[in-house]
Amino acid sequence: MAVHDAGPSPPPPELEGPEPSGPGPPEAGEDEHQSVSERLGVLSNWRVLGTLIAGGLMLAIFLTVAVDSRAYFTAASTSPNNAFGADEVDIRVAVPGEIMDGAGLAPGVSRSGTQTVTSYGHEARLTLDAKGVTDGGLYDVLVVTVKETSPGSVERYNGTLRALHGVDLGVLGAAQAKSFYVTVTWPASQPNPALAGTSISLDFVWSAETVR
Amino acid sequence: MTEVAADDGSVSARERTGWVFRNAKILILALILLLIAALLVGVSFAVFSTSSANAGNMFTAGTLTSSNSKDNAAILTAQRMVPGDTTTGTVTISNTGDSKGQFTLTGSTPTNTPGPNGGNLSTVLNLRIVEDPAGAGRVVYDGKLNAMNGPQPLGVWDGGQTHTYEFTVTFPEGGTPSGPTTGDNAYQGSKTEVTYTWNATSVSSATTTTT
Repeated sequence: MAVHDAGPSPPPPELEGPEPSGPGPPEAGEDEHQSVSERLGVLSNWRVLGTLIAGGLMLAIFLTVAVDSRAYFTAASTSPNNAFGADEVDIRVAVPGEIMDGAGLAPGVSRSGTQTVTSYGHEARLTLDAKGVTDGGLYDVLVVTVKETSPGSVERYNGTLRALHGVDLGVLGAAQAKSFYVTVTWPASQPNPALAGTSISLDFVWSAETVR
Repeated sequence: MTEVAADDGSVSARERTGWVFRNAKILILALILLLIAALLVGVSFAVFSTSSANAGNMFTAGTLTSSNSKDNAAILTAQRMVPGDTTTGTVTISNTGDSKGQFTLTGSTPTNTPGPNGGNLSTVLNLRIVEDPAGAGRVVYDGKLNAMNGPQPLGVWDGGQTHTYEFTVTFPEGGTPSGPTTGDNAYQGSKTEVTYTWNATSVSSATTTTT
């Protein structure tokens, strides 16, 4: 193998082939092992590798903190206690049971009773219905009148029992009460012996629905 | 083959190369240290130098502050609502700083207090928020009171920019309830409460350059 004198750019030794280390020619495997080790150089040392990795991490941290760091200004205000509540409709009747005794009805006979309805909730429109009717034949005969006696004085209904549905009794203000006088009449003009001994039962239902 | 030294006493190329490889660890570590030092400190090897100054370049930090015409107070409240009722409230939010800010509106999870029939009022109330109702009238939110999930973007505001927001809460009519505790009756006597938070975060401005 040629030995170069000092020159401008001598090629690396490994490029010129293996350098004999002893009296005889080296084994091919040994040459290859030495060549790889030489190529790795300092990188084959774990301390050097650790130093390089640590240096890389330091550089990454430096770049992250010093170059890519961003700060923000912030401002905030609150609008609390936005509260919403639903009202209630609450009406109560003074007489919870029957308001009249309907026994012994005959043509030309009337029965009557009073009822007072009080609102304990939102202003509401009051209506009256006849529900739960069990009819023995008088449903189309009996006539009902409903008169408001307090605070107003007005007839709210005058018609057959069958047609007593959704009768408008006016608006009942909050904490307001209305009194009604209810009359049930078997008209004298409708005598019908076939109806003797018959009966009818029903519920007067007082309802309220909110108004705005 | 035997390595031959130059006649003039100088070190041969092979010797120099060998020295480099023998001291490779030290050289690489030195290079790494130099690189780190150059990054942290900065190195100048200039031989000739000159300088000129542009004095008086002053930089001040901008400010990002906001004002709320109803700060720490309710925008709107409504008690004793019944189906069909509507209530409205307005609030004015301003960017009182001199920096651009990204503004958002966030509604809290409503706190419900059911009435005797068990309904949660926030699930039935409708909320509509309109930005600048007297102007462009952009709808920021339109949905159930309890369905405003996450911040609602209000855009990037310049310093001094102001917007008014109109909140409208409606109790929709659900028709005649089928029973005393169903339909709209389920919400009788119920209550709900919600807090709205206005947030602003500064937005990076373009780099100021003068030549």
